Amino acid sequence: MKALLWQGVNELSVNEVPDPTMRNEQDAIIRVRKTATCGSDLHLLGGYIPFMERGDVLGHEFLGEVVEVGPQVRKHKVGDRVVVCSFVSCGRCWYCQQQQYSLCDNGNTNPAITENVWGFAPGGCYGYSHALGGFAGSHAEYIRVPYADQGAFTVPDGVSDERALFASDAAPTGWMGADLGGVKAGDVVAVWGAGGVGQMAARAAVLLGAERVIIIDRFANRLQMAEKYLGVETLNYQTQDVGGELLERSGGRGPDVCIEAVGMESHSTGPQYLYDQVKQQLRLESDRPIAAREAIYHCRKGGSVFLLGVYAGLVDKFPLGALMNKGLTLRGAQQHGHRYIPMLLERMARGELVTEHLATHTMPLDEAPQGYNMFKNKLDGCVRAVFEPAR
Amino acid sequence: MRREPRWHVVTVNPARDELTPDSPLPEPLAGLGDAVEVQIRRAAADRGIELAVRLRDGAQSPATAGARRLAGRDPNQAIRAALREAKQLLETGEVLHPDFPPTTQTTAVNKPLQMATRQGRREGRL
Repeated sequence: MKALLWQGVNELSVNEVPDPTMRNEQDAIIRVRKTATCGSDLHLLGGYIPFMERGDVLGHEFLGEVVEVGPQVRKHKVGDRVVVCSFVSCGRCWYCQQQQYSLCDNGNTNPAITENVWGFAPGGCYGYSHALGGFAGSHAEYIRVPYADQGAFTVPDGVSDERALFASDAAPTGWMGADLGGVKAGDVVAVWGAGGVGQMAARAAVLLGAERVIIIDRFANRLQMAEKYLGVETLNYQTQDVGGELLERSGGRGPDVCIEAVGMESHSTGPQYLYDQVKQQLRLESDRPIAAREAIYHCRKGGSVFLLGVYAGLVDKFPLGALMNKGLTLRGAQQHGHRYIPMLLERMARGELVTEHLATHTMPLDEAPQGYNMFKNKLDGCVRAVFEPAR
Repeated sequence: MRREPRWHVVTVNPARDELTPDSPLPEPLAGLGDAVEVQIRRAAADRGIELAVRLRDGAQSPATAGARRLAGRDPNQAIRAALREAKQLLETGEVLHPDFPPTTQTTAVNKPLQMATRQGRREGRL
């Protein structure tokens, strides 16, 4: 089959690879219909997560059709149209039963790396390096889905592929940030990053009853998209004073909940960007936490900060003083998508949650290297490139 | 200074009450035979069952232990793999296998990573 392969730092190609095979009785094989780029892929592409091998298949946000099921798969049959959570979780360990699915004890076939780096191993993730299980990604014609009854969700008839695709990752990740960040009716919520996940977090905050939701980015097209499709306010940090605006829009209190949806390669206009770039390139820190610092700084006293952006390792100049003295609650997580996806599909069916505008560029899998170039460099207003392997 | 073997412990969340202190050991642990001691006890706060395993003998210096670990001949590696696999069998009914066939190529740069992933369940902090 054809697949998009990581060939080295900033080097991708589409090549023939062996078809996936059933490895467990709870597996399914899915024919991929749509598979999306994600900002977190860029950390792999750029070599910031050093656990990739030449030939690894990228991609973890996808939708497709079941073509084979193992004898222990009960919920799905051949022909089902399913969206698959990007995390591999067993559904039966203690963490899964607490609905903390991305912390699954059994979903990572290679727990040693992350145990040594982070203390304990989270679950596995498709196309996200050998640190998270080494599972082949979805930028391919077919993909193996372990624990298919847990991780694959049948898409309701009324929901298009274009909309349901983002129930795989962007929508549940964003929803989790608002939910576990503690958004409640009347809150002022600020979201750093107007990519797919940031937009979904902002929309989730609206649906959870926030009074004002403000999304922050530097790209005018993304901010316009957020105003048009999400019904939220915007801030362009290149042309506006973020701190002053947030104070003004929150009655001088600061946002109740700050959601960071940027991650380890964040940008800013100030000298701290240069500082973090130099340190990251010299490997004196692995991640640039600029948006996380800002979220902590601007959050109201006693407020809540949720990190949705992907971080891999160590950061410098982390504002522990602000965190402690303002009495903040800081949380983060990879997505516990299994917890939210059925509800999100229902909201998609009712039209409460629209996502298809995120797919600004749809193309055949053969053009995926160009798609990643557009996505990485934000060319032609690209928010998400989506690949269709059957095209 | 030689170190005594330590206990390796996992907490299992079995679907049924199928594991008690008197139960026969699940297969991956039974395969370790008399070389190990095993304890089975109820976890606090209704979190399931704790499975604890340690070598009966074998105090060794950190240098010797490190060398055996690098060579893949440390018996603690077999204990870690057996514990993880026993937990998976009890919780999910099967041991999750990595994808096969692989799509990757071996290069000079990724050889250390491939060596590390071959020890994926045998290593770590467990």
